[in-house]
Amino acid sequence: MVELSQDELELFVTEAEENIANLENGLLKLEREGDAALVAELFRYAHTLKGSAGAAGLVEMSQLAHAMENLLDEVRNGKRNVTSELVDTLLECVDVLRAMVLALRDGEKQPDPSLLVRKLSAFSEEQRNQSDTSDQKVSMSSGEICATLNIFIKPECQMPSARAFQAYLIMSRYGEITFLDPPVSEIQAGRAKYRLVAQVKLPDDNSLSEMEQELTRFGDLVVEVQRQKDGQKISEIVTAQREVETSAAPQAELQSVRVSIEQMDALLNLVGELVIERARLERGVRKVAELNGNGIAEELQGVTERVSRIVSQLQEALTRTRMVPLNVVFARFPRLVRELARSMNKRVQLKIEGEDTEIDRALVEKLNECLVHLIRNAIDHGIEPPDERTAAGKPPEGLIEISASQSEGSVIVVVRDDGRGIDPNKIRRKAMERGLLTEEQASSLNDDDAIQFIFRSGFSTKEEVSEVSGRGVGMDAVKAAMEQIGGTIDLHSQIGAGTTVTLRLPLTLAIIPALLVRVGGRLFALPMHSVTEVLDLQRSDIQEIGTGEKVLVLRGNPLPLFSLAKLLGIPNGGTEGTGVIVRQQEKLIAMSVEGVKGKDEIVIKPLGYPLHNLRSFIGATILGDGSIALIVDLNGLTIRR
Amino acid sequence: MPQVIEEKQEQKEKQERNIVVFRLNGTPFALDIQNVQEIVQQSDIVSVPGAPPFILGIVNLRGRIMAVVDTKRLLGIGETSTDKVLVMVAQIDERLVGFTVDEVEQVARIASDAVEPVSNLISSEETRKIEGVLRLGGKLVLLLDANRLLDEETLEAAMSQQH
Repeated sequence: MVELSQDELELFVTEAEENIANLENGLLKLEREGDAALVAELFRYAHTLKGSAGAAGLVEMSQLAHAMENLLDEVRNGKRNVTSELVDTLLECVDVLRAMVLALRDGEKQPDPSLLVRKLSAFSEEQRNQSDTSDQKVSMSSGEICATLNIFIKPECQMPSARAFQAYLIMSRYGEITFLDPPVSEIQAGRAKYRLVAQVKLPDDNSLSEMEQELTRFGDLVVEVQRQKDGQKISEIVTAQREVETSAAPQAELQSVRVSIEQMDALLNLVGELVIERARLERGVRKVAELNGNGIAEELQGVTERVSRIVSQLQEALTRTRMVPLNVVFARFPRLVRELARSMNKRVQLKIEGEDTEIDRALVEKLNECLVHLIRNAIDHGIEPPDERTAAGKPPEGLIEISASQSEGSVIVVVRDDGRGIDPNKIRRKAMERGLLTEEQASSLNDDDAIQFIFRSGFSTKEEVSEVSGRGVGMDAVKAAMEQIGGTIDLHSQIGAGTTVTLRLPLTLAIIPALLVRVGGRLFALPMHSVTEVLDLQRSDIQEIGTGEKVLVLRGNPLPLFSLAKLLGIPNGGTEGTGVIVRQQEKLIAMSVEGVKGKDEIVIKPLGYPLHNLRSFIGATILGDGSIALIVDLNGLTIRR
Repeated sequence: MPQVIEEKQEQKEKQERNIVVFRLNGTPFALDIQNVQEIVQQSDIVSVPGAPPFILGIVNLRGRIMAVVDTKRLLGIGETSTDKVLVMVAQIDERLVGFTVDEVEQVARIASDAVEPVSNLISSEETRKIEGVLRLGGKLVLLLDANRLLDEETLEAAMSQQH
């Protein structure tokens, strides 16, 4: 095996992962809408993978990709139909390929694909016997030649990537491209710059010169062709070529670098400190301005303003770098939906929109957890079996739509299905069985409010327990996960027409808007996403109930009123004259505090060992004057009198 | 032969270690210097509601939040008054934790074999946190085990006491 350098390895892994993901998505699409262009596309992915694996000396991976390529070629030539069985087999290959790439990346033992390769060739064999055909496209013939092409794209070329892609298409028409740098995926992503290196296997010299002619017809391409000497191994040339490329291409050519999350967090922390110092600086300058009315203060103010602006931009830019497109989450769903639908004998189509919407990397895991759950629910409880759908006058295939968008500092993800919807009467019945509602309450509850009961813990309405959704964890788990990341969940359902769940989550976790309140003579921060209202308690309607419990009547709604100092277990530091209405779980509660200092963008800092497990606080933040304010976790706070 | 000298020095270093000697209620204690990052004077320690009783609070250490332990309470030898304290910043497994001390006496170079295991004179909960005892200038110094001072076991014991 060719020894790959760390950089080469990373490059190969990134490239291979991309090709594998493309293969997977394409295969899922193929089952649904098998058109010729798609088959050709899939063939190309397998082909590229075969080439790059071969070049990296990964013989087994290359063989597996080759076997896939053969199958796809048969489909392309119309010798084989697309069946679920075929897609299954090819998806199995995708899984093994992915495992192989992962093992390679982590330096672990490679899984052995030989069994699968044999299965694939048996698949092929069987077909060949049936159709009795002798021509096989991807085989070596005697007159075959190999050429290395160095294609330079002139700087005046307006769209180098488009041109590079055209060149790639031309070459693939004439022969088999065994090596291409940059790879097709990079070219398609618009990252081809000024040079393209390709290795092409061609049937004869004639086609080589024709191809060269066609390429040079573009005025902005300069083509250098090098025919390969007999007996020289392709891999040798490719490796040599890569070396030439690496030494020739300046470092500046790198379009992206990998940075560890820890490093990013360290940078973010530094910027957080800078933000704090900026506030101090601004205050200092204001003081200078008060003392000294002449030019110095003005000059300082000008500089401070510019520095402030730069710091804001820096903060924004850095927060951006932690953002990843939602595609990282969504990419796995087509496969998930296919598998779930099959296991439940349902037909489901998945539509995804807005996968370019970006989200903080730190939120990805939780969001994924929630979405997987919602998808399972939609398929298991929402979408009806095909015959039931037909009987209801719906198309036999159900539809699940996932769409993401960004608005006002939040990311909104909507999961919509066109299934049977949630029956509010079933919910009412269940809530009564569980003792959550009396009959009277249940009947006076409107449908929308009744449906909200599915967010109560342990609530599940599907009569029999299915393998997929299981029992116990339900919508309450999704709600809890969303709240953990400062998000909200909203559900609407119409019986017979389907269910829509809207998730709203913050763009980033590191910096949040917060309300600074005075409790026990010091400042605490409350995350704004939980705060709904601030009011003057002196002018509010407060009623005392028997045992000293207080109730704040807000626009006719009685809300329990607690002293935040008491909840935190600290002595209060003055009259608690201000009320803050917050959302805790699904309820609104009122909290009395000694005062409100204002709203601020705060940087969340972990409390650190050994306070990391404290439930009442998310963390702490450093205020403009260098003092510390603890950030209260309103969901973690234990409510007691 | 510079190489030989280096080797000898290395051997010598292996046999010696540096410790920071500090006092709590007049009693000398020590911590290996490898675990001590710095010593800072802290006046504004913010108490954290609900934290274990031996946690004095948190401080702003150059933009980082760090917990400060009341070392006397942790070791069960009294209590530290809050207004202005000397904090020894210790690094334990990449984590920074502050420990209050009354005064820092010296940094001493000692022979590794000068540290003797503690006898059964002290109760087991306390012995766990002590690596050993050594004689320095005619006095007995307890060398604390930084890795065990605040480990899970200690935390659990502290939390169960609280409830």
